[in-house]
Amino acid sequence: MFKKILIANRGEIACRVIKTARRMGIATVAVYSDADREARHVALADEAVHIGPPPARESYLSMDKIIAACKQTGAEAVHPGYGFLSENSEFSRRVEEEGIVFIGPKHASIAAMGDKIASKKLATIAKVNVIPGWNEPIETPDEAVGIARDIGYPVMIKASAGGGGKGLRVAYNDREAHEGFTSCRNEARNSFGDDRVFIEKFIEEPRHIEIQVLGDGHGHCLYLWERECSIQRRHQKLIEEAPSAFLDRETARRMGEQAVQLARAVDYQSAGTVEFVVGKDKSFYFLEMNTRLQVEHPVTECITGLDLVEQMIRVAAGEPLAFGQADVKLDGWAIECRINAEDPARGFLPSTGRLVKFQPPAATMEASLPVPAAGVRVDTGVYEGGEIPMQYDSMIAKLIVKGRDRAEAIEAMRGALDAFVIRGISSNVGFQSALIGHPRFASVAFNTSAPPASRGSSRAGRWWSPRMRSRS
Amino acid sequence: VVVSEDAVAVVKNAEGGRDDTAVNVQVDGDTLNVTVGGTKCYAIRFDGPIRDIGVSGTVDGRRFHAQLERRGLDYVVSHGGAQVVARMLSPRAAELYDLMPAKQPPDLSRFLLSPMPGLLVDVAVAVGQQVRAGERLAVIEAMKMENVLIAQRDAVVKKVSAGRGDSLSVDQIILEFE
Repeated sequence: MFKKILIANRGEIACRVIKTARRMGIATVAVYSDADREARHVALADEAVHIGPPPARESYLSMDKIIAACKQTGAEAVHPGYGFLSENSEFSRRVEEEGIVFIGPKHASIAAMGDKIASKKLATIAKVNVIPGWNEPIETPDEAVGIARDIGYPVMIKASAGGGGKGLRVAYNDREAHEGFTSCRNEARNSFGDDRVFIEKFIEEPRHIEIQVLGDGHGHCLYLWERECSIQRRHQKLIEEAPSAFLDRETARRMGEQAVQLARAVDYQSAGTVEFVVGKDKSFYFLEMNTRLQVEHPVTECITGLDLVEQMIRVAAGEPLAFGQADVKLDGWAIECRINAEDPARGFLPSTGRLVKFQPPAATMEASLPVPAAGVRVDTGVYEGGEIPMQYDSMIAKLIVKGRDRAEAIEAMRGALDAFVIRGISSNVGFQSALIGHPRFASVAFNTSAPPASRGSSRAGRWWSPRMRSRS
Repeated sequence: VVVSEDAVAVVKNAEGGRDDTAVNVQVDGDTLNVTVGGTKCYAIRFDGPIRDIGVSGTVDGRRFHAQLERRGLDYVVSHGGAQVVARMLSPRAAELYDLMPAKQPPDLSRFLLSPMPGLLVDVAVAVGQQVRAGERLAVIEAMKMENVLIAQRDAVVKKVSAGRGDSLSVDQIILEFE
């Protein structure tokens, strides 16, 4: 096992990785920019190396500086966290060449999944469902109808150059496909000067559900069930839960098996995530693979009792997985709310500055410690009195709860959010409260195109304002 | 929390008026028996003395967590994503409250204010320049989000109060119009 590792990240995830490393008896090295001198991850680590000015490209994204920091401190391995250099295959290749272990997948796996088109081709070869579609330009309405029939209704007819809802039609039958193709093509020609039109399967009431996979260097690869991440705002996930209340175990198992097939196809040796879009008929299709630890990994840890960071470190150190698929538990229900420094009343603009009060609810679970049947966990990289810098991501904490079932988890999250005091900067705590307390969240009546509270409006702020009575 | 047995909670409503609710509080040991609007009664117990924003306890035996703080003369209560800003007055003060002159908010329509703290990456206009509605005025960046500020109506720039590279605080003046 490694004696010392470097964490090439900041914020809550750097603190999270340090926690596991410390429990495993591994010394930790933090890196920090000028804006993070006083940051929590720097204080928590055994050593810290300054790597440059606040802009990420001159510090946290600088491969040279991070590799130099590894050499300077004698760190044998580097954990990239998420974001920054975590999915950069050149970084992992360079780290490997320098004789340092990258705590993540091999660079070839990152590269194979980094390209959207190439990864879809790989998925098809690995017999993973991909969204059925016709990727050659279509010439006539009759041809369009034929293709639509082959794919199966409903289909989405879209302009190659389309965007913002323009040049997009949904067809449920031959007549609509015929008309939709003609008007879509005209619209595309007039709006974009490019009349190429494609057809693919239209996923009704799409949900974003992802499978956590874990592979090692000895040919083992497992799935650790799913995470439901359909509650998003502008493609940013807000609430994640495990398991998904929408899936039955049989569908989840089939998704898990396909995710493992894909991971095996790229010789995946670490923790990774295969994202699927799931339709209302429970048909599921591959979207992309994230070759890193995800923000929302704690909900998986809560239901499986596994420490994903520990597993990543062990696999990177060459150990085989110590358990098989049949040993993977699914116990209880976990929900995570991302707590962001942003102002829902100002259209979710970022809020930075001094954190005058930061009092999370009392934690009864902790990363890297045994998971109880029910509890509250807070993963954060900030502290009361600290400063939230403007250069980095607005997520300042993750609030995770576990209950014996979904109702208990929801109730625990409502209480935890009501108790979470953040002052000095604006946060989305109240907004998350309103989402979690919404009847449509309880009844699982949501998908990625319609958050629980606002059908037809992507701006949740619209329904938020009326509830914010008398904001003087 | 409440100074006298009888009080009136004055809450501003969306139409700009006010909603008054009569509140009566009877202290019974650790329990506060609160009558709201003369009809609804709640038995409230707090877990301990109220020292901080986060408060917890029970209402009619059911546990709750909420946040309670003072903002000027008002109490702000946050719970379940909703927020109420209430001014607690004695019945006589509530009667007289309508006679208080309302403070007019300053006219900020001639200013371009920063909507968020961040780095001013660009100022697209100069003093004396005529700008049209929809024209780009400035760009602010924070937390990986770029925010382009657009002119709401035609105007002439009178003063540029901040420059490229400045760190702005929220509501800081960037431009002044004539």
